[in-house]
Amino acid sequence: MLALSGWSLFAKESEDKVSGVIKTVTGKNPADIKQDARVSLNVPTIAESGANVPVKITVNIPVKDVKSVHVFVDNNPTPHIMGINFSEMSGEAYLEARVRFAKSSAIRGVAILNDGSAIMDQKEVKVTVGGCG
Amino acid sequence: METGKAIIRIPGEIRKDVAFTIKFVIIHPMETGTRKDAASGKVVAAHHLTAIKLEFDGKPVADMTIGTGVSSNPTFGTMLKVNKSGMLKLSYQDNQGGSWEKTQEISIQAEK
Amino acid sequence: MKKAVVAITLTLFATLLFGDAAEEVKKQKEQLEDIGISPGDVAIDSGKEQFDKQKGANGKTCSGCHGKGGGKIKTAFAAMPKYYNDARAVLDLDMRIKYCLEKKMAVKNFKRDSSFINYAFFVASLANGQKIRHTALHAKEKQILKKGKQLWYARSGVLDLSCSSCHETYGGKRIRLQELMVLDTEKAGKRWPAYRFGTDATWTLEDRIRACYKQTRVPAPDYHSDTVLSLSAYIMSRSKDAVVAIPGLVR
Repeated sequence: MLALSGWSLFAKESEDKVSGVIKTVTGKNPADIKQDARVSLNVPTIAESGANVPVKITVNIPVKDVKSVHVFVDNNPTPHIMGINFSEMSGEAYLEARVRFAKSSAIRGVAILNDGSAIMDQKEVKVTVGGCG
Repeated sequence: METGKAIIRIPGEIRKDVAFTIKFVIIHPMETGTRKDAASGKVVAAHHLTAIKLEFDGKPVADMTIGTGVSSNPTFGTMLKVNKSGMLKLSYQDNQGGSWEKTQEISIQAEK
Repeated sequence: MKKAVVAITLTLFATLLFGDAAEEVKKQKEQLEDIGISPGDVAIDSGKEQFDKQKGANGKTCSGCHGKGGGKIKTAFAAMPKYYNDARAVLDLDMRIKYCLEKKMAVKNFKRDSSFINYAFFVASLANGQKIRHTALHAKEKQILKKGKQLWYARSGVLDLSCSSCHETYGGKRIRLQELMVLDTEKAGKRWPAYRFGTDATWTLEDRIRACYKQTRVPAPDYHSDTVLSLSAYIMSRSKDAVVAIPGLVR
């Protein structure tokens, strides 16, 4: 019982932290960034190594309308992982990277559009302990 | 491997005005500044990439801000669309003054 | 009794929620493979540069003997370990490179550093696409292979495990979320040297064998020792006909 309440307290703390970071980086309140089918965040649901989690983000909007994409891992000590600013020469709004997860966490791919709006996709990655060593 | 060393991969066939994927690996320890070295017990100073820039024939294509949440010896992928052959330049910096560049020629297949 | 019920319920619930975890966890490796490039590829690239440009104390480069870009030793890795006349001994990839560095390029104070690892990745990658063709014809090769087989099946250490315990008898079964490598089907010899994404490390087969001993609570045999060499030979012999694919990508 105690453990459960401890966990939910911690979860709230992380949420507050990442909310602050998202606000600082994007200028928007996380509540105003809606999940949108045009942002596609691809990650494994379970990772046996938090050191190298493959992340792929595609924004199905012409790149001329997309300003940037930012990656946030909620439960990391530094939730803002990276950001990329596109140009028309980008061809498509696409980002792929290997990312660190300190522990099981939600990950968000936030796309900031040139009209000032922001949309996102969010997924959960569970990080487990590896096999033998 | 040498910190700052990078390799770039582009597709074998690149067509004019068709977006293609470019991937690159940069060798870098990406130390967060919070890790304790097992042998000495001392905290290892933060040493990580901070920015990456992609340019084609001198014009900016994309630029990235990099934090400590990126894996060590990271791989990145993004896309590029060009309408002529030219020179791709990858430039990147870290928080300890490290600064590197790597170029890659992009040749467009002749139209049939 | 109550604890057991709770535990079972939670497990069932978790299974429902996460489906088959062992299947899901494979996706991390698959997606990493999909990227198509890894730090292992940088090791190959660096190794290639070194091969042509890095000089020993006597001014020699690898390419001086073996051709630019390793042209003359393209398939050598696929036959290793093997008996070398000049060394009068059976040598695996790591040992052959060390031998060349020390005896042919007059490198003093040999260190198993990243430069050495780069050479290993590059030389092995030259054989990409080739089938492993390990043989034991020379008397010493036969001796090493026989010892390798003995070691593979020898149970040792406080956990009383042998290589075969995990990679043959219980191969395919799960330890935590990972399925144990089955030697005969996965033919692991084809994918070392590899990039280990679990620890961001570039390892050769010697590193892997030593680490297995450490994991089973047996003091790791020295690099280039008969133990490591013999197991190397045995693993390559059981990986026969598998197509070399360097750099490997493993957890």
